[in-house]
Amino acid sequence: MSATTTVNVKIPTPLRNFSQGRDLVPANGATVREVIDDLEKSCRGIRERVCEADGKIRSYVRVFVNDEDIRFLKAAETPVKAGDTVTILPAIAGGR
Amino acid sequence: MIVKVPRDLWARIRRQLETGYPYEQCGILVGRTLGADVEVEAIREARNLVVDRKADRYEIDPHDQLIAERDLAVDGRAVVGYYHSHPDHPARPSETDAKFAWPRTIYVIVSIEKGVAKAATAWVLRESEQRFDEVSLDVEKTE
Repeated sequence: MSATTTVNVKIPTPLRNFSQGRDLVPANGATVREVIDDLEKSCRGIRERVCEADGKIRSYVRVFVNDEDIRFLKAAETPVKAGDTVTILPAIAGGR
Repeated sequence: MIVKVPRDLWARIRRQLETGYPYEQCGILVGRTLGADVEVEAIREARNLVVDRKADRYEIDPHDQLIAERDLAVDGRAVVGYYHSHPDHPARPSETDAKFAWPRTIYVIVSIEKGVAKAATAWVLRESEQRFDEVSLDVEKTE
């Protein structure tokens, strides 16, 4: 049953206030979108920091499934398998 | 808060930023939070993804962040912040820096004048106002 697929989500330092300081949080789902929806249950408030209201990943957040940037896959609809690592990263940019 | 950077790592950062002049260079700081202070224990030089304005803009390649998370942020260490250069510009955060900044993250800025590092500062975001507070940067007291 794909909806019960369990993955590990790596939480970046700036968002660990939502995960009670944990860097790795298990979550269920068959796609990145479902995983983040499930993550919200244990990390209340994180979804709004990662996703737009329509579920798209925010422009200043990067998400990888294992070593793949999901912008080059199916974005939030990218499928995940049991045991995958979903890494959330802050986009780091700026300049003088 | 004091951000402590061992001298050997600081030398690597400085060499990268000076060598890359006149373009903005960037990288990742990995270490530990000890009380109010942060000790940097490893760095990863990162690719600047900006192509058209790389003299005054930077965006860290997320693949470098992924590798830093996977290979360096282990054994109790975490990605604690980032560094970047300001070529021929003061070591103070710009409006662009503040606009894209994240909380609970250290931003080290190094001014590079004519190819030589002149000043370095460290900053953390005051989240409610999306502006920075300066914190102490110590590159001398740890080896």
